[in-house]
Amino acid sequence: MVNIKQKQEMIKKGELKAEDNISQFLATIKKKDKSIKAFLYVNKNAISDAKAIDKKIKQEKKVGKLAGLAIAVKANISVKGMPSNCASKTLEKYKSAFDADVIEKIKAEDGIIIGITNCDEFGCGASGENSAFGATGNPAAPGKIPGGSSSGSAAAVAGDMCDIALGSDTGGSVRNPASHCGIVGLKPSYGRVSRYGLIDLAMSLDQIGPLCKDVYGTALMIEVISGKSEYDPITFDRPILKYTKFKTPKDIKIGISKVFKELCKDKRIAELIDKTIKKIADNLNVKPKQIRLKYIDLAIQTYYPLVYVEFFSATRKFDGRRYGKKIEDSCGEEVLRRILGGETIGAAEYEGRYYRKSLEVRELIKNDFREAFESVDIILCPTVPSLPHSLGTKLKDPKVMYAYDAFTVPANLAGICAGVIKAGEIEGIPVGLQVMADVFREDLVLSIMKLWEDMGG
Amino acid sequence: MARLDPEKIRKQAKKIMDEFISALDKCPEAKKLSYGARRDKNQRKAGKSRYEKTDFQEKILDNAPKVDDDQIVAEKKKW
Repeated sequence: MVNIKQKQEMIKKGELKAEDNISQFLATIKKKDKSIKAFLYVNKNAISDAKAIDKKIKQEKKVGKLAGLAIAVKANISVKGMPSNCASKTLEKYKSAFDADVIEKIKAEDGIIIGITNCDEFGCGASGENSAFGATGNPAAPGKIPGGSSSGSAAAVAGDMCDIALGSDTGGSVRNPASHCGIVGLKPSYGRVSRYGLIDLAMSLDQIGPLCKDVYGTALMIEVISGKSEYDPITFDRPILKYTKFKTPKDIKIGISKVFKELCKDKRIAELIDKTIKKIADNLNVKPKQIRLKYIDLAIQTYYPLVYVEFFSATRKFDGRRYGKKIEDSCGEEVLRRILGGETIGAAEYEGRYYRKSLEVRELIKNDFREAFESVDIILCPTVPSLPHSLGTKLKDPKVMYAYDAFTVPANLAGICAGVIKAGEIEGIPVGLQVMADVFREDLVLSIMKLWEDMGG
Repeated sequence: MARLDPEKIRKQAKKIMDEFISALDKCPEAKKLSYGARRDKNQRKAGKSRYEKTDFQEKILDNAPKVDDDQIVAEKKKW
């Protein structure tokens, strides 16, 4: 199978028609997706969009970086005229009236939106089972959850149903499914990618990020979607680096922390990640340095009060008047839990007991990372503390699901960037290595992941 | 919502939040809370909208369950 870089060149040279590329994916979707349920909607115009790209190439007109590539988009990102229903009955009939900033950029680079992908309802979940339209399967580990909340995006990539997918990551929703599906995923630094057109889960944590089978495709997409937007005030006016021009990491200082090992529920995951880190360190001829992350064991307890309150606030617009149904009357259990929990602790906020306290500890976690990145360049650690459970397993305690996020939420709380790449397998199930770097050092994350990919990882 | 019991879910959510916050109580207070920064550079320029000549309004009205001409209908006294 050709990789994204080869395919990009083949399409531009006319050796592979964009139409054929899209047709192949549509045929795979038709064949596989009844059982996987990665897509909620397939773009009826994808073939005609592809033909338009082929015409431009034939006429020797300049085409964009994503020319003819099939891009799948999570159901909480607005694509004009397509359903952005957040996998919820609340927005079942809702069609976006505009393109999100990231979609405008993808279209400007001649990428073809192949369809809208399934996810946990409004991004609330880490298994892909909380969709109102059915759970997504895991093409890399049949019978297991694909992870979430960007379950459909990860499954679409792993199941060869698109070239690159977009997900959103509030506490690990790109990285968790990337790990379980054995693909590459990246959560950019907070403020690197515009959130305009993303239906928010928690505004102070959300970022849109790419998923792909290879590091080049991930870097290519981040190159396209990064940048300041007048429509998202938290985006920064920072230069967009040529992320696809990977630099060989030199004099890199690798940080590791015992805390991740101690918190790893499945010790086999900790061992596999340790071995992977050793191989990378040996290749770079460096010795990993122990760093102190004092408050990281409180990341889950810090993250969820923030999410509950911000999500409650974000959902007030779903009152049934403008977009369809009232959310409290039509959502699933986890969404309702966060809404009612957010309302309750928001009302009790008069003493700064919940949200303010969480903000204070968030500051301590941010400071942990600030200090760590003074002595190291990257931090390597596991992505999820346990293997994915079997589809359909009833988890009685929501905290069991919340614990899946233990190693991913710290990056969101600190606003730093983090990527995931397959480290290996346990019982035939993919396990991802997480690479964290300081704010706006996506180039470092991508270079380390590329190094591991080139090492045959 | 007949299949869900909101009060039971609310109590469960409150219990989880109380447990989480109890764990955070052991932490010292952060000396400085960052409330975000004012960035005048990022303010949207008045009069410049990407939707001026599009079908945005029409599409938004298509999504609303009840409309009257170019207005979304909402019940009185329920706001």
